[in-house]
Amino acid sequence: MTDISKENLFIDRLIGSYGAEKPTNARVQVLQEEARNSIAGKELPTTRHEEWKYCSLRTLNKQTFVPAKDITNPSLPDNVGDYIYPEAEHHHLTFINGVYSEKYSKTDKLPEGVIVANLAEVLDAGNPIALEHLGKYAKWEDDPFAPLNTSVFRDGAFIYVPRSVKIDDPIQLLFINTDEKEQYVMTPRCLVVGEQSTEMTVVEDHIGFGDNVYFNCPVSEITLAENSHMTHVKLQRDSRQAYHISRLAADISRDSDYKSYAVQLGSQLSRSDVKAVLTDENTHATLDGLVMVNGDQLSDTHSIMDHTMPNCTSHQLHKCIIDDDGTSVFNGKIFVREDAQKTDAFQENRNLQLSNTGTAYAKPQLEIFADDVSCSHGATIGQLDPEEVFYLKARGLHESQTRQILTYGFALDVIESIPVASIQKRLSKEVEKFTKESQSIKEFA
Amino acid sequence: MLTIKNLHAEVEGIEILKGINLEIKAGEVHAIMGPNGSGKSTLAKIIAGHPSYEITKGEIIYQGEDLAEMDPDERARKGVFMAFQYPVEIPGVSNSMLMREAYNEVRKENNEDPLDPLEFEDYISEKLKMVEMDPSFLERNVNAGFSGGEKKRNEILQMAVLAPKLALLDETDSGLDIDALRVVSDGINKLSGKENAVMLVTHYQRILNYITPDFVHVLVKGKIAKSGGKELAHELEEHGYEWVTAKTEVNGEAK
Ligand SMILES: Nc1ncnc2c1ncn2[C@@H]1O[C@H](COP(=O)(O)OP(=O)(O)O)[C@@H](O)[C@H]1O
Ligand SMILES: [Mg+2]
Repeated sequence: MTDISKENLFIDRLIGSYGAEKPTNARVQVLQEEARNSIAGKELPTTRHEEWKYCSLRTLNKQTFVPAKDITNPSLPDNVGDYIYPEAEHHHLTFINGVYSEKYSKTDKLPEGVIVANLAEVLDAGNPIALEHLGKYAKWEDDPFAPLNTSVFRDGAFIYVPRSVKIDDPIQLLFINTDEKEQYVMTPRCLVVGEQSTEMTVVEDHIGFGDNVYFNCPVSEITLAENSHMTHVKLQRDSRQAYHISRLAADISRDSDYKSYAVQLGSQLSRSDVKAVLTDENTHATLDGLVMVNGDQLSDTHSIMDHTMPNCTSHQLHKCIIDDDGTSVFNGKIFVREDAQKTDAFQENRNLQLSNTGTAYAKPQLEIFADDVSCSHGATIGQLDPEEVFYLKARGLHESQTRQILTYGFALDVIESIPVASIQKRLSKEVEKFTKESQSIKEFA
Repeated sequence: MLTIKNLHAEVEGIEILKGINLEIKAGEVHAIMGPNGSGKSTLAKIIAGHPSYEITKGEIIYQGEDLAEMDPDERARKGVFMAFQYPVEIPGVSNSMLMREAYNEVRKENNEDPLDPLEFEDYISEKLKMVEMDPSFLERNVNAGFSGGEKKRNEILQMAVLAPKLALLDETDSGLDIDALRVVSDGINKLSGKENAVMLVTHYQRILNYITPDFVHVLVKGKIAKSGGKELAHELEEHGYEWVTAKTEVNGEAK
């Protein structure tokens, strides 16, 4: 029986639009059904919900989207190849509106045993490793979006690196989102499994080609066995009108090192919930971020750094540049569980306000149950330092030039820690563009 | 080159400079001495155009133009340079980038083509030798993690690069050891000539063993209490600042 009052609920409408088509693998079917059931009839969270206090989904709630796979002839630009980083020339997967594109993907020169493939195909073929890990990590309390992705996802990336294998060059996952009249939704899914003593770099790149409204709802799950190293770069350059609500969960074992650098540039509303669970001793996790918002953009990052065992370290440097009426939100939770003695956790959130009308909300949240730990956290919200501005002007640089340089300087340490040269270059250009277009910088002069 | 007439200036509503008169001509070196807190840095900063300091009375004329009408960057492009007493650290901005941009701004002002990074490297290499700095300093962020002495050298390096007409050196000597002081003074001497002028702000007489001023002015409580030739510095060395301070107070009472 249908409950009429709930027929109009966003989640139900959205899931309903996918029809009854099911994945072939029985275990995936079960997973999807469970996910559907868990959110059926549920409303989107409102700002009364503590975790959504500054991130209103009111406009999203009113939107209607068609599944992106139903857009049969996407208006694809002819220069898709230009968006492949030279470093990833030999291994990249491209998704057009969330749909895997064989034509623009390439996976040669991979070491023996490595899998970089479309997740849908891997699951259809019943790959036991993918089935074992899928859905195991991306779990948040009270969260409709990871289950939403799980309910309907098909395509995505599966990366598997067998024991003791190192992949030198980055693997790029390119998500191209085209400019369409119809508003579409996509739910790309990534699963990365690194066995013991592996090394890899994965670059997730979401690009919007127009100014259109669409809804990008990706979920990534990472699991690293002992002694592995992974660098994970995410670049969100979705359309200025897009909604980007993503989930990232990393499960990190003994002696492993996971470094995530997330850069948020696009979307009218971007919300990232990221979680790193340090499951065993001597583990390190980095969750760094760079956010640039202008116009009326809102970018909200909620992170969970979960220290469960002794002698682990974590690093979070989250920097936001806020211009015009932009809003940045950072909520960083650090859990240090009872057993996690000798934890060394660092967290810093720095907000640079270029305009007088932007807003930054910063909330560090430490929950420490062990007694021998070192946790530092700090949040700052401020404008460019007038003494630095004066110093540069006293050297003859124009006001706007000075503000551009200092803003760039603010972003630089996050950019420089990303170990892929062409991404660094790309980001330098993005910051330059952001500051050159900045009305606040121009008007100041 | 620079004429200061009855200059009164305040910061945060407090009057710091209380009627300064000073005339600096091309080719001259003026030493401004005085006790801590007498307003020496304020004088330098107000000539450079620091926004926290406000001229409440009087004027500063530089090459025939009223400086109050000019933004600090415009003053700099027209040849006013200040070496900071406390140079700020600027994270994320490399020394070489700052100096190249700054130098190219000056070149633009003089209708010269900007230098590309390679040309600039050639240009700056001899300047580095002058201040005995390692080229690796260029790639570091401006003053970031520099020692006190390195920061002061870096200021003189910037002066060498920009070749200003009027250099305001605010306690560039303070905190330097003798070797560093010699390097810095040599640099300043090489950079001063007939076409330009130096206003050397210092608390100590020591630097005047290396740089010979044409004039010495003693600033006390926001006023020039005494002016003279280089011998005045020696007198101050002998008698201390109390000597001048005491005298002004007597004068004050007599009025
Ligand atoms: N930004 C400021 N805010 C408040 N007071 C200031 C500021 N700058 C200088 N002063 C005051 O002005 C006076 C002169 O300072 P300064 O010019 O730095 O002296 P000097 O360089 O001779 O030691 C001091 O009493 C100092 O405390
Ligand atoms: Mg001073």
